[in-house]
Amino acid sequence: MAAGVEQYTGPWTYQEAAHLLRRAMFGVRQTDVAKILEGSMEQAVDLLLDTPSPISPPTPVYTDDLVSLVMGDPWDPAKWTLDNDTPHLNYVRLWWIDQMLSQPMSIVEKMVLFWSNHFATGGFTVLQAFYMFRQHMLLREHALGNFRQFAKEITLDPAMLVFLNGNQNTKTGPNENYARELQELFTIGKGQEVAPGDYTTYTETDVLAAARVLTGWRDDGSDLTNIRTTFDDSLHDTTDKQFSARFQNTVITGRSGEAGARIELDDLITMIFAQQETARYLCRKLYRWFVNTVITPEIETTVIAPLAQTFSNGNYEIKPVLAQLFKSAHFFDLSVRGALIKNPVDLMIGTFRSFKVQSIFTATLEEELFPPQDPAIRARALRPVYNDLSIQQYDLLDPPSVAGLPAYYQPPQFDKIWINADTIQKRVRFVEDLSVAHYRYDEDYGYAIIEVFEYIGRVSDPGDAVTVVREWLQWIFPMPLSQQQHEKALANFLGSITETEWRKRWNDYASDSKNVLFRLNIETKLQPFLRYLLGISRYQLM
Amino acid sequence: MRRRDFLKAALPAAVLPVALGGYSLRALARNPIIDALMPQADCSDRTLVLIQLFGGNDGLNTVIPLDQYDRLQPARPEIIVPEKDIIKLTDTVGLHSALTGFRDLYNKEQLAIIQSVGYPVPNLSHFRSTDIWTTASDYNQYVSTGWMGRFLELEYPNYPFGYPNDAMPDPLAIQIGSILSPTLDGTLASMGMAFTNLNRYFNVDTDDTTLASTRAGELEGFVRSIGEQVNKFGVKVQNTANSTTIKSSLWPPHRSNPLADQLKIAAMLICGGLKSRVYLVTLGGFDTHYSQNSKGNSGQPFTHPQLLELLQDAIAAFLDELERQDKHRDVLGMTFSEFGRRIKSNSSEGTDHGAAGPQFVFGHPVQGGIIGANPIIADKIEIEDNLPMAYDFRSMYATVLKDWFCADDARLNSVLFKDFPTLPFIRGGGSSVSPSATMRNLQVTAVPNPFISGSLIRVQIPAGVLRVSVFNAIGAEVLVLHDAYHGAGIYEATIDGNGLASGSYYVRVQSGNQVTTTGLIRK
Repeated sequence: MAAGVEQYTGPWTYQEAAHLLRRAMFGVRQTDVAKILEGSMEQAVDLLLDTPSPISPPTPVYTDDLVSLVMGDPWDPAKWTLDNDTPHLNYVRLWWIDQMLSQPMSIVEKMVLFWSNHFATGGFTVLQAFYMFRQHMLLREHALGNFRQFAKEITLDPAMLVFLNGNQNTKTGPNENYARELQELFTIGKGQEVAPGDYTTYTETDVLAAARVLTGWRDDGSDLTNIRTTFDDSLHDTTDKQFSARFQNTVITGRSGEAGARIELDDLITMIFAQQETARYLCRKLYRWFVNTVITPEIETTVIAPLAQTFSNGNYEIKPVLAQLFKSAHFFDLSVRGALIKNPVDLMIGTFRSFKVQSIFTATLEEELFPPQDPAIRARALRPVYNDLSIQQYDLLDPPSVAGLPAYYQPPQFDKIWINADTIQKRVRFVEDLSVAHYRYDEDYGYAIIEVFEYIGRVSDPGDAVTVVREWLQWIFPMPLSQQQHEKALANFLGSITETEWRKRWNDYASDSKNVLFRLNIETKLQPFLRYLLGISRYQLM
Repeated sequence: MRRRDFLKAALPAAVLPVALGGYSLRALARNPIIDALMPQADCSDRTLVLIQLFGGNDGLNTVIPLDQYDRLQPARPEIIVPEKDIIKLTDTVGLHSALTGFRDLYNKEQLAIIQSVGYPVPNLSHFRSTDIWTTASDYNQYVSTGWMGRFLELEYPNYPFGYPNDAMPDPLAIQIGSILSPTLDGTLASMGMAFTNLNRYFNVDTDDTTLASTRAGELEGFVRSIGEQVNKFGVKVQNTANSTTIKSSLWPPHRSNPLADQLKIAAMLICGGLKSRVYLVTLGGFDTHYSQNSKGNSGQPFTHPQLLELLQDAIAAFLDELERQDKHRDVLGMTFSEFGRRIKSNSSEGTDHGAAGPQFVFGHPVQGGIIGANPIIADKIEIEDNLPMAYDFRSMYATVLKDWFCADDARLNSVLFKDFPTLPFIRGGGSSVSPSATMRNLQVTAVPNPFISGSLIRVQIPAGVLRVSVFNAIGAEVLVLHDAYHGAGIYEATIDGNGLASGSYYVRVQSGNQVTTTGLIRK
């Protein structure tokens, strides 16, 4: 019997702390592990849930297809145009990547990404960067807030009104698009179709009725510094809306005026959130995002159901559910360690954050951390990260569809969808570039590479090859490894040299770390070993 | 040696002596396990190219029923193709004005149009409907393997383990893109490999240490298996593409036509001699909810007419390339899309998710023509009204499997779960009576019509499996009157009006691969 949501009482060591950080943040930093190991597991979870993620204003960024912005310009909406503004969307994307790379010890960035997948909105359809940015700020505002309130606000969000045609929904021509997705994907979820048009949790009747409730809302983007939601009374259906038996035959009284329409929206959300299935649906999505994509009947009973109870009892506050999940025996159970394939953001941002990544500029040989501090160069460094994320099939601000990423909903493959013959090569190329080749971020400016001297310096006894291998394996992989796997890795690390020879090389380097030859003797062992570890299949798991 | 080649040699002596445990071989042959062991006709040099039109193509603005135009026009006045611009294929069937290339293919008998393809109870969700199409399931059935994955798995047992080998030196199926379609999913693994850029190839490190018996171990094993596939097949696929010289001048400039870019890679691999059986390519953007005919305003990268042009241009270049490299006899192409769109346009000069729609089969092996009658457009169209299906999409699959890939009935049955009539769109295929022969329509009468209490349906039929059913205005099958073998002669049945709300209905009669649909009104 796998563990349920009862509080975890087992060991609290490196492995558990790293597991928590890997799932709640991107990648694992040794300093973060050390910090949370100073306190208890509960304190660590509380810290992650209570720490905000400060929002730095979007930094001026460089995009090579920039129209109305140039590098170094301030973040000034007045300069943005309504016409084809893909460059501006890219501006927001790079800023967002920067936020994730510089995340504090907090779950907020991981939750923002979760919500961007949950309320998946296609930037390519909305085609208005400021709409998308406004929506993004809404995701941040509610990231750990109240789901019911969030659902209400996203319904009237201007980008959402555009994306799912809410702004074309009228009493004479109801547009069902948003009303359908609100139920199918955003709140209660679609159950099995037991009769034509009856999806167990709601019916086609409810789609149409909800569409009529939501008639009349419009987006107004005439002032980009103040994008608003407006209401046109003449387009609103003021008649009563009859829902099906799936919603206890609820009738939502038709009302007029903006205040009336808001009451109708409240009634609609209240009706949907009165169903326990709504709590379960979101808990399943959180579980697939943070723990494991395969929900067995046993997990449904011992994990999802009690989490959902906490959710609905707590008036759909998000924090208590996450606290219960992350403090649970189930979350730390060995059966779920390493049980997720990293999505491209976890792979890329996680790898950047897990190591000290050095920027090297061909022109000046100036060295600093990745991404560089100079705003202009910083923007150049972020652009290829966005490109690589998208070719690995994670396109920020442009999900594959309103259902979000198939890895989190498409059975039976789920997260296996991330990996195929094409994407695996892109993933391997990324780690190869960052470990032994050079991750080029700009043809003229430079590249990034993992600083292996810093990483070996953290090992408790760097001169002992067995210790190096043991500690690196523990740091890099999400689950304990077998004796066989340790031996294989050690053989790979040593190659043609002996443990004694490694000890000698290390001592030489330690005695004179500036000596070019001594450095080279170390580097030529460490870089290929790191490349080997990051390239094997296990590194794709988290 | 391919498993079934081995069995071909081994079977006669080992199995044929009459019976196994009292069951006749024929009965056993219906069993999928035994079926997998039975020799099949060898059509292993043949290739299928599937084009997925993602988003739901507006069929009524693609293949236009000229004899229904007067009723169609008021239902979609803002978006319908002006009558004078329609390309006429026959007196009653026209193509969108953008589809001049399809007209040329049609005239060369390299294009078959199958009218009103769908399934009995439409699902309006992109995702669920795509699942239904890719898994070939019933509307209310959930299947975790794809139809082509199931077929390839039977043809090449245990793939990808033990491959490449002499019988199949290449990937079974190739998707040009970074996402693998569920169409290719087998029981244990996808039968497909995804490729985009064939210029840079990376050897993926695999390791052979023992896997844990956890989900993590399972996932690690999966990632390893993909890495092994890349290592086994990657270099060869890349070299094949790089060593093929393009000969057609019809290819659009790189990046101007996303479908052509994909088909070009497929053409290079086919012409380079790869033995892969299936290629899958996609063209997205068909979810045309608004401003579907105007530039830059539909929220999609291309307008609907532009999408049609991309489609025909890509196919024309592809077929031209195949012909110049003498591969045209070995390649069949087919489109699919998760649904058609509504009959009535919405208030945003677009169309919402619908039901049945036309599909295309193309290439030299095709028996050109139009299969099926025009859909019927009722006098009064409501916003939610849809076209009922005439042909189940699985009839297209059955035809491809049987007449192109030479699958026998037993194998067809285990891939598609039940019998579906095949259609005459492949030249020389077993089902290829000429379209005109099958178009000697079944004549259905319904009296009275309109009706209140009941209407008598009467149709003369040949002997065979007969399905008679009633569809409502939103395109869903609501009554099945008959679904079984019926002798030659007259079939009669009464539709009981008491169980039906007032409105438009369609009676669909399917006898073998002949289908007819008749409008009916319950007052």
